[in-house]
Amino acid sequence: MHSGALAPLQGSGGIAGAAGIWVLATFALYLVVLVGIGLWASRFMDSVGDYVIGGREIGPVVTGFSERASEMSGWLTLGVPADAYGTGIMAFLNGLGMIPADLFAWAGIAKRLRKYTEIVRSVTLPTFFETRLGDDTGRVKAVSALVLMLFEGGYVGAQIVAAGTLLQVLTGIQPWIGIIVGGIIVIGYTFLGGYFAVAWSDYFQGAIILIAFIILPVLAFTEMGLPFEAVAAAAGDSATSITAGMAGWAAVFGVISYAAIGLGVPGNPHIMVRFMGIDKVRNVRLAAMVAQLFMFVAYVGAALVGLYAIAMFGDGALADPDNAMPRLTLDLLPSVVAGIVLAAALAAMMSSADSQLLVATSAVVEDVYHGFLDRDASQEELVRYSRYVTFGLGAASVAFAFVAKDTPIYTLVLDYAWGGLGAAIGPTVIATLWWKRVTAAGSVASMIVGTATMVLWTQLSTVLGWVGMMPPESAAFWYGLVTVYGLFPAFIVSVSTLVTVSLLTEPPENVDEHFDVFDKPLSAIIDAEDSPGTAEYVTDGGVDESRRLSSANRNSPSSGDVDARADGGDATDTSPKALTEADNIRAHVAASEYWADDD
Amino acid sequence: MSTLDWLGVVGPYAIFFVMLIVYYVWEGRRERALRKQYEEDHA
Repeated sequence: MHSGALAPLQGSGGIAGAAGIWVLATFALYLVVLVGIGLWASRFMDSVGDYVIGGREIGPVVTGFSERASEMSGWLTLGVPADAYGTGIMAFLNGLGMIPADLFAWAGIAKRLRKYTEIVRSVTLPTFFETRLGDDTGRVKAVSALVLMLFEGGYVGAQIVAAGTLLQVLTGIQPWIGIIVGGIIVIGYTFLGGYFAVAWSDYFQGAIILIAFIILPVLAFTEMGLPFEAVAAAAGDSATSITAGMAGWAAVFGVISYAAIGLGVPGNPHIMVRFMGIDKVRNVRLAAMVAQLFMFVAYVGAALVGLYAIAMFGDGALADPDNAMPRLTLDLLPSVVAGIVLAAALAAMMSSADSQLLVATSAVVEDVYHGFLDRDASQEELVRYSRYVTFGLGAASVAFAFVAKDTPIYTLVLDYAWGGLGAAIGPTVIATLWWKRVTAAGSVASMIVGTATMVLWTQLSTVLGWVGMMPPESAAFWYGLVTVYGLFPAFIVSVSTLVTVSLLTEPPENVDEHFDVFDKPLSAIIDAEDSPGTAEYVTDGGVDESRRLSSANRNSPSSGDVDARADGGDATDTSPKALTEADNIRAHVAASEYWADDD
Repeated sequence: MSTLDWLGVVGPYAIFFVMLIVYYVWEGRRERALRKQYEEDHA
């Protein structure tokens, strides 16, 4: 890879050296195997069914892994180790907000969202909002779809930067080549991963990364023991301070910034669709346990990887801190094993980008096009437009990746994707499930204000610097406030707006009926003798529940293809939906015939 | 590393682990109670 025709395209040479060819060969083989299994699974749907039936016991495990794997993106694999490499042990606080926020999401959102979206058969968050808030005007759906498109597009761009960075550091190719190749692979993978075995590939890739984050620190530990003394010697005492050597307001805002990351959990739709797609409501508890244990290992492991990188390579020795994880992997593991781990890291980024690109695509095609422009569009048309939109959004994400390629992946994800979704969508998700008084107007206002605050706060220090009004570091409170992670103020402002505007406007009618769903077993709603079968407020007009269940069973042998609608759509469903991430997961679930004894 | 730094690293994870166990047990009991009540209502 370091000579011949590729030479003009290369930069200073990849860190992988001779192992680079192993990494690329393993990655290529990995993709071939993944595609092969996907094609094989799609042809013999019994196998998909078998897989999920085998998951009668591991179903929640797959869900728990998948929920976490959707975040096992560039941020966790490259970003958090880079953060630890730059700041020291304070990087352990990346879990400070995320872990409890994720637990609260499983405890307070998962079951309610799963039950409600089952009853109303929503497969996207905008459709869920529209139904729950009784919004006939389409404003909630349109605004939330635009927000999803914007920030999920940013997420995809960040994954492309991460994939491009990894390719660049491994092989030494120019950054723009890395981004183009990363972009092509991500968009191509979305076509494949979007239709084949998404949950399975998430599970598999997540498992490899998780094992890597266990093995790497263990191997490093056997070589040099705990890293803290070496870290202090190499990077100074601040690297082994839980506040990174900061005190007073600087430390307070530093800790707040880490804790505020967790506020993004409820607003990120690629996490919420995992809640919607879980096989049984009662499995939420086990899935939560799996996801949480996953987080413990991943966050501790990722931070330790960054610390061991300081101990082994020295502080500031890596030109790009994002190289910390791949460098340690190549140093500690044999070439072929390192190839598998880095290939899985690359694949995990693409898998995340796949989920996010599909969510953004569904926001455009299902929520905007199908919801507003052509309500009678056929399934074929919607799938075809989905492909066009995937290409368009993918190309836009590549362009964004070019513009943002010099921004660290850690901040790129937090500022331009995670934070925006958290501030704009999160308050509405929580309120629609827990607060009867929330209104469509309150939700729309919250989304607009949350988005604007997040975008402006991210640029605040730059703008204040231009006009000469940036507070000096000696003014600790004001400096800390301006530089705090934008999601903290944006979430507060968004919630305040939602509450204020909702209280000034009229809530939808029949809210009590909607909330009845939350406090009963699902079977009490759909199997009750006096139940009409399906609630009146279903999004697609509804079909009789018994027919829906029998339809799901009847479809099970072939439920992996586009028509296999695990949300119950059948011949009487006159409102076909574009394929979404939730459709994919539910199709797997339908193949297992879980719906037949769903509770 | 000072004791405070160690506490800052280990403390939150220990608390979160306890929270997880409490949630798992509490949610299981709540679910059983909900199911039992539903069965009694339909008995």
